[in-house]
This record gives sequence, C-alpha cells and structure tokens, in this order.
Amino acid sequence: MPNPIPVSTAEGTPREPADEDLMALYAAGDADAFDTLYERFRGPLFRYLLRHCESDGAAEELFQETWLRVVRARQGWRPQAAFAPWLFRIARNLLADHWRQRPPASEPIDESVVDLSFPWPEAWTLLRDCVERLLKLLSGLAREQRDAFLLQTEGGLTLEQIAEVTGTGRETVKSRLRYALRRLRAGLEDCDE
Amino acid sequence: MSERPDPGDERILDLYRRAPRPEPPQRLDTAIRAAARAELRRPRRQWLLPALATAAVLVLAVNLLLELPGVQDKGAGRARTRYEPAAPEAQALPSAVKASPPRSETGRQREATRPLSVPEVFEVAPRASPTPLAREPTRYRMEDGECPPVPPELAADRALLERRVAELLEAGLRHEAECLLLQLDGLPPGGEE
Repeated sequence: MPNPIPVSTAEGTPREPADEDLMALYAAGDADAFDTLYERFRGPLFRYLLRHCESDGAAEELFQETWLRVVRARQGWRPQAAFAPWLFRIARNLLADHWRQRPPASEPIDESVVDLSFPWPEAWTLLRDCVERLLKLLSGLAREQRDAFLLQTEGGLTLEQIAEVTGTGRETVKSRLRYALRRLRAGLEDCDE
Repeated sequence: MSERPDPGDERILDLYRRAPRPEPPQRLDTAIRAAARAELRRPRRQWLLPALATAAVLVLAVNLLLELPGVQDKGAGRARTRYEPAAPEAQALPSAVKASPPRSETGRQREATRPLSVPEVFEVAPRASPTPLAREPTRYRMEDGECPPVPPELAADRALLERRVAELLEAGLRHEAECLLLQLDGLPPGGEE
C-alpha cells in the first residue's frame, strides 16, 4: 500500500504480506489473516471516522458497520483490487449516509473528539496547545478538505486513490489538500518552532 | 503524493502525528473479530440456491412459451395435433402433380435430405403405400387435442388402419395413433383388405 506521508497506516505492524494478500487469505477461510488486516487498519480507520463525526458513538457505529461490510463482502473480493481504498470507500459511503441523516452544519464540536487529557510534560505545553488547535482547525475545515486530508494522513492513500474514493479528479483532490493545509498553517503560525 | 510537501506543510503533518491517536474500544475489536470468524463458518455456496431457483423459473417459462399455439404452428411442438383433410384440389394427386412445376434432381435431393416436418410425415406415408389413400393424401394440422374425422377409406379398412397406426407410432405421433386406434375398436376383426 502506498504511503507517501508516513503517518499511521501500518501502526508498526510488519508490511508483509500485502493487505490484498491478507484479504484474499481471509476470503479463502484464514481467520488469522483477517486479524492481521484488522490490526493494521483499526486505528487509522477509527480515527478517520472519529475526526469526521460529531461523537464517539457515531464513529464507533460506523466503524463496526464498515468492518462488517468487509467481512460480508469477502466472497466477492477481487485480489487485484487495492484494499485500503476499498475499505475507506466503504467507510466514506457510510459517512455520507450518516451525514445525510444528520446535517452537521452548525453542530457544536464534541470536546471528547479532541481529547487531549493524557499527561503532557511541562516542556510540551506549547506543543500541546498547537496540537489542540490543529485538531480544532481540522474539525472546522470544509468536509471535502478534511476528507482529503484524513484519507491521505490516516488512510495513506495516494492522490489518485483519494480521487477514486471520493469520485473526483486528481487535481481536485490536490487543490482540496492544498487548501486544507493552507487553512491549518494559517491557524498555527506561532507553532513553527 | 508524488510532490514533496513544503516545509510548512511538513510541520502541520508532524503536528498531526503528535496528536492523540484514539483507538477503537476493546469491545468493538472483540465483536468484529468474532463476526469475521462467524462469517467463515457460514456455508460458502449460499448463492447457489437463488441461482438454481432462477434457472428453474427460466426453464418453466421457456416450456410454457413453447406450449403456446402460435409457437407450435411453426412446427416446434407435437403434443396437440388434429387431422384436417386437405382442400379438394390438393387431395386429387394427379392434378396436384400437374400443378407442381418440374423439379430438378438437385432440388429433389435437397428435399430428400431435408428433415421432415410433422405434416409431411403424415403425407409421405400414404404416398409410399399402394392403397387408395396414396392417391388421396391427407394433410393434418396440429392444433388441439381433439381427434379429427378419419377419412372413410381408412375407417373401413382395418388392415390399413393398423398399418397407419404403426406408422404414426413410429413417427412418434402418439396422439394421432390413439385417435386411429379408437376407430379400430369399431371395426370387425380382420377388416376389409
């Protein structure tokens, strides 16, 4: 799986075998292959949904449904397809349904989504403030820009894969990413050190 | 992404990497892994039942279609036939022969190799026979399950009737043979030769 910005796709797990091979093994009846695959993507997928959702509960519900759909679709899995874009497309479709049922326009941000309550060393106070602001800025981005940013950072998808998942062109994705990063940078100018 | 992000963007991505990394709760992990294993225990060929049901419905539909009278008239079916005397001018063999144009040898050969339709089976047998019926061929038309009127020459001659029954049975025309057998019941044993 391509991962141009090494953020979080593999969660420290070994890169081999490939995601697609693991899915093919699971489709053939290997439950351990699913466990490995799940371990690789549970964190990135959960954070992708959590950063998009207004609450933990909604993210958990969508997370579970995404994996259940993967499990149910195992017999129709085509080994030549890339797994990560497929997984995130399922999640994104579920998100779209969720958004349709619950328009998010002026919803207040659930502070539990931006949970920074873990202990920070004193020297890291500035960093903590910056991270906190970053997450708030991220949740305030337009949905499409946030989506492109999260698909890249959490999903590890390429521009082409993001374009495929979101049903847009590569240049559109590129422009959304550029705009998202510009907005984030503008809000974090004092965090350059 | 093929393009390298500029240092400002790198800083944003670095900040994002330092943000808290929430993970799905343990109960979700357990539930999803259990669902994945349960899916493996389900029989794989569940699609076979609907496929078989669809195939059965298609076969029934095709059979019903072939049973329609309009389709049978084109020579496809044999189940329902009816004897129908030919028009008077066609019944008289000499005039019919006169009326028909001379055929070339290749034309006759082509006709000899051509598969016989059901009405032709009825016609050809009397011609080969030295009985009076050979001069008065009868054409039959398949329409319904009724027994058609039997030509008087045939109805009076038990031996001829028996021979015709045998020919019909040999041609696979059971219904027509049964109709003639009904006539046999009314004739004296031995009949007229």
